[in-house]
Amino acid sequence: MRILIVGTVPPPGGDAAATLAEIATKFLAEGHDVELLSPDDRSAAHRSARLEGPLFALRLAWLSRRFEAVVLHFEEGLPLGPRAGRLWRAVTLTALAAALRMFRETTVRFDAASPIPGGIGSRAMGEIWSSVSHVVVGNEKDRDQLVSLWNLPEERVTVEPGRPVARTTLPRGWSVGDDEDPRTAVLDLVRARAAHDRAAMAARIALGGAIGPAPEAPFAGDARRTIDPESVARAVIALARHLAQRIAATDDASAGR
Amino acid sequence: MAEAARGFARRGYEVEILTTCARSHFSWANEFDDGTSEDQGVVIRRFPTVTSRHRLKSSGLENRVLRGGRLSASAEIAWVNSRFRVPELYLHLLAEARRYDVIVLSPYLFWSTIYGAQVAPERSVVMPCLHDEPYARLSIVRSTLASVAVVWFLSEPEHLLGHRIAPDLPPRHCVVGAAVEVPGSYDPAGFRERHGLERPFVLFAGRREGGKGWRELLSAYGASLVGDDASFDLVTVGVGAPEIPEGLADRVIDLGYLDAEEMPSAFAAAEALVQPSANESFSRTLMEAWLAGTPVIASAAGEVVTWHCERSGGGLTYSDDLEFAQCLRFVAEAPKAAAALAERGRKYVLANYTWETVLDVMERSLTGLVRRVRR
Repeated sequence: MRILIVGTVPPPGGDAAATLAEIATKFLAEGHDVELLSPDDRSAAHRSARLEGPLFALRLAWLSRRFEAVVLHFEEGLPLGPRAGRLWRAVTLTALAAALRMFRETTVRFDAASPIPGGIGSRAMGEIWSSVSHVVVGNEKDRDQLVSLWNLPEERVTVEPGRPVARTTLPRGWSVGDDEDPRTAVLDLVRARAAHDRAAMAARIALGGAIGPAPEAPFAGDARRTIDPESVARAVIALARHLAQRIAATDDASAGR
Repeated sequence: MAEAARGFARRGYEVEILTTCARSHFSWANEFDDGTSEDQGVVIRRFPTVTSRHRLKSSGLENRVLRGGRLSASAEIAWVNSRFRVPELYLHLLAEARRYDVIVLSPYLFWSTIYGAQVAPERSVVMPCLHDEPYARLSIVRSTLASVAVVWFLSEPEHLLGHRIAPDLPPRHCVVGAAVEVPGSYDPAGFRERHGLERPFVLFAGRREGGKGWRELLSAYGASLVGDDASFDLVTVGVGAPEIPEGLADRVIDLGYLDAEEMPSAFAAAEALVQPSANESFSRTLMEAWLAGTPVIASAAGEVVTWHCERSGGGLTYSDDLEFAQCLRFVAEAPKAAAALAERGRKYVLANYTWETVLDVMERSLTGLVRRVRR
């Protein structure tokens, strides 16, 4: 099955991102084709984009032609920012519900109710809940609310409590506090950012084919200094041939004389 | 050494420099005329070098040393002799050693130091410029350091390395440091124009060779170009063939060997100096960059450069390619903060490594030695 996973994947870190990465890895191991679409341009995803508003719903509808299943993670700013008005929210969620119906299987995940536009019980969200095949929530309370408010069958709502994952938050700027030693503070930032890049590389390895090949450096070290046994063998054979020809030519010349 | 000699001459001492006729420490070919000349109050005596004709034997010994293999005493002497010799300089010392109150020899790796130190060890000072490398672990180096009256180190990490290499150092060893000339002015705009440098760049100044971390720097710089992290070109000046890989040909610019007068402006024009070498006994380029107000990004593998960066609070160190890329980003994204770090470096240089400061330390050390020699 071709599966689209929408949400932040590492880096940056965090429980939810790590969970999405795990899900992707699990699908890959099961033999599915997986693509990742992230709202964060630092993610090691196939692509990143602003996943907000009706345009996001349109994008998802467009992608439904290529994927049978979608896993959509509701998080801050996805599918709507906190300042979205009521009308904008209604339009977006209606469009999103329509887009989700275009997939054969849909899973919506959220760890806490805060990113749900208008909350779990809002009328516009009802369209979403009725159009998904599965909902994964972070706690019992949210499941109870979904089941009681929207009459969702219990087997369609699963609780997966968040698990502790080491957080690596990427520092955005280079600002140094007045009470800090500037060199130490900058070096701490350098190391934190490098740790992030390292996590991205690890994620790339962990997610394997789900994120495509790593970008190549124009020069990655001293490969030219390694001796390739095959080329050595070829050079030896060429030299032997050359000598044999020289000897044969000398013999011919002697015989001719 | 030459600048120290001139400094002592300015302070009223009679100073002679005994040196070779070679310009390149790779070929040791005699390029200068032998004989005596005078420069800024210092008498310069040049002696011709003699290089080994047994190239195969030389490279065999060299390989054994580099692999860290144990050489017999005679093999070590053969290795020292196999690089270059200056027999006439040695004969001059034999004849004239007593004419000098003090004989300062440097660096540890050269025939002239190892043989010269044997002529009059009681009045000899060795400034070894040690690196943590296989050559330094030869027993002939240890015995040379142990035999002379005084050993001068350029930095505290080199001093500690000296103790590890030669536990029987003479009691009168000390850290004298090294000094750099403070340029009167800089011309960064003129430098960029003269060399056609239109994009901002980071600078590597030094020998482009394995021992100086050049290949590692190319690798780290290449890695930093992924994702457009490196907004700087890499400009390199110095001796040795840079052998720039094809993939970096449009970003790495080799300006070759520059005159000493041009160097201060090269440091001032750069956005940062990169110092990838782990084999430094002092790292003069660090000081010159800081003096020019240019930030420094150095390999954490270098004990000496790390020591300078920590002590001054003015330089960044990196442990791998990812940290190197982030250091470049810091310089690109926070130039004011980077300049503030460089300013700390400048203050550090002015406080510790001007000629007046260093000559004072050397003079104190030599005065004590001369008193003992004359006794």
